[in-house]
Amino acid sequence: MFSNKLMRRQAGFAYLMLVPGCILLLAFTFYPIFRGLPLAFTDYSVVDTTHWTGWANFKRAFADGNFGLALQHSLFYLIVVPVLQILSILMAILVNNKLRFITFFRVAYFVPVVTSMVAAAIAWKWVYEEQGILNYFLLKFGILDQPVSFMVETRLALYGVMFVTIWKGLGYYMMIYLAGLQSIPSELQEAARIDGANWWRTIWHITIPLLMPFVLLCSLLSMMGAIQVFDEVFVMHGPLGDPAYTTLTTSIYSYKVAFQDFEFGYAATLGLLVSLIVMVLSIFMFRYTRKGGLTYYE
Amino acid sequence: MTSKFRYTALTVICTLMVSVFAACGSGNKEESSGSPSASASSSPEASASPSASPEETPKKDITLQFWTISLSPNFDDYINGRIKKFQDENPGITVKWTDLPYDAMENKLLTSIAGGKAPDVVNLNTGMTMTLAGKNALVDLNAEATEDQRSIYFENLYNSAKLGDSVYAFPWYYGLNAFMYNKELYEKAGLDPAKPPTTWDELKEQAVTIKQKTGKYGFVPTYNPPADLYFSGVPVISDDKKKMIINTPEALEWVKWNKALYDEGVVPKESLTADANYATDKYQSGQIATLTTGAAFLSRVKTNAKKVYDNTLVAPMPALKTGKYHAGLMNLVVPEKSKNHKEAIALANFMTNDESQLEFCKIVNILPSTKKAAADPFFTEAGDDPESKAKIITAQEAAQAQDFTLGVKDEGKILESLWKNWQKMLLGKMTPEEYLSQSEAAAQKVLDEVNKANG
Repeated sequence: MFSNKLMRRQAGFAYLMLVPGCILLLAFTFYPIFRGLPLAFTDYSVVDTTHWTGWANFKRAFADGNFGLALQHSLFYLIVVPVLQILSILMAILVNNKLRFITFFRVAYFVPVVTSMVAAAIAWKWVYEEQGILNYFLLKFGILDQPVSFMVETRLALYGVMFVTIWKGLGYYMMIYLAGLQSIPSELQEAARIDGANWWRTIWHITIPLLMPFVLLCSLLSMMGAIQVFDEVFVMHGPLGDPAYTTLTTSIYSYKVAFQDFEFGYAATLGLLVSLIVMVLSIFMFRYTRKGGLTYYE
Repeated sequence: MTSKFRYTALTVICTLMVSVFAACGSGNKEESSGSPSASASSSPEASASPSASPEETPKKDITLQFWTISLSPNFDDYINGRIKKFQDENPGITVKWTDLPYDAMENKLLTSIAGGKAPDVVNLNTGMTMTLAGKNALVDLNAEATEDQRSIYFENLYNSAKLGDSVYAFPWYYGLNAFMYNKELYEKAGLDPAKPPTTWDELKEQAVTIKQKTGKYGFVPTYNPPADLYFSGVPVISDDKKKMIINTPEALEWVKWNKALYDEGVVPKESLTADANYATDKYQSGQIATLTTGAAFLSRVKTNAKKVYDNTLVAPMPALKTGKYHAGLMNLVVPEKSKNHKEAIALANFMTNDESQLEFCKIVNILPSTKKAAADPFFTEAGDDPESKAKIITAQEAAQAQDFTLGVKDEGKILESLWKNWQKMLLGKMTPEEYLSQSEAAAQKVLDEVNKANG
């Protein structure tokens, strides 16, 4: 009886602690989503009269070449996900060793995460310029004959931004994987080693499967971040996805449609379509990475 | 005990929910009750609104919200001084000033209008003014301002914000480009600093020499394709506003000239996307020999790189074919949703009158949009420092200054193809001929749609 009462009190307290977060979520996430949905069916421009336009915005989106291009770039941007995850896992394995000064390395790898994206993107812009430091080294080591502007070369511009996303996200995912690695029972790895498994086989057959719940979480976060990439593209290449729309992503295009063309209704439609795509991809990822963790051995 | 705990939790939840949603919904409530003055969220100190409706009693104790772009903190004393004078001359009116960064203005203005808390006087550039005017969001000053208020400005500047028979802004200040160059780099390149270029071809020749001799770039063009074409003698739009006229021999000549400049590596690759900030950064770090932006940017060079500033000489900017200069104009507008049109127009007019503008020009390198202020001897008083020289040079260019607008709704969308294709053309993804023909066709298509939608 006593313990039941105590448990109920504890549960009540736990719910109370959840309240502020829930209210913020309701007020600033669910309420705007709920209010924003109908906008997708209007020509809302904030300042002018609003009309109900039915499916017109959706028809326009499917015929809009710029949206198609932006979607293509956003989907292409997904290649940062595997690169980011593989590198983060490797880094987490490295910093999981008991070495001297290991805390220093962990902190050092985490520094980009706490750096402001705007400041970092501006600095990377300078690095990539024709007269920037990257060209200086490439020319000095004879890798290039002529300086190349990684900012305006159409084939390279998007990769340049992707690199910034990877650089910035690496430390964040590394920390999550590090926490994951430290939760893996060391007996399993030790048993594998006693059975004669080498380093690589231990990683591949023991560590990675046990990390799968973390891989799912990180991949999901990273996938959503990649499709909705905005800050780094906006700071480095502006609201039009310079040069010549080669870095135009769906978020950048929605921003342009809303805040430069004042077509908030159409921008809401674009946002809705992108959300649907993210939802489908998330379901897909859940289905294919569900097995993992200790269930792997069940 | 448990029920007490539950009640406490429930009370806390309810209180928090009510407070959050009350905050979210306050804008709509205020709008529906027709309260005459609203406090913008950025100015929490704004005074409470009087309860009587404006129709019932004469207006008094009005609070006007005045929004500007990037003037604080550098010009706090000036703006506050002018506001004080306006308040002294108009008892009962309080002006609350809010300064916003350039990029935040549109966003903030729209959300305020949507929340029923429109400011009364807003500082916008001509592009933003025309976009909002096209959405019926601004007060038509030809209809609501007096002749006395309208007549103080240069006609061509006043008409910059014209749509049909309506004008939606009082012109405020503008900057003109001057040709500012690094004497030391000119000498290193073997060029005579006493002979700055007088034409764009000379500018190119000098830039080539500078690149060869010093390894530094001669200049960074900051492209504005529609305006550049217009000032190169391309009509851009017909007088009846029904036909786009972009593909002309003058246009082809200008486009080809720029293409060659880019292809030959005379200008940095990043000039494709460069703005005045980029050019100024490169100039003050000594990486570029000349600065061809607004004279107001000199003050930044003076602050950040005194050595470069001291080495700077100033000359008139080579003009494009028409001999006219592009004036990047700042305006003051009154949003239609302001609840105090008359007082707001008076404030906008006061901030842009001869006295206000002349005082402003004395503290920063800008030019006035009013006739009397521009005629002041201040603009001909010579000084030896680069900033004073730039002031005199730009003041001389002022007679040929003009802002560029199409004078039709949705100007941004109509001209989008000119901007979008410009980069493609410079990067070799389309020829200059294709650039002009395709941009003209695309712009014409949008213009037809706009004209059709507006009857």
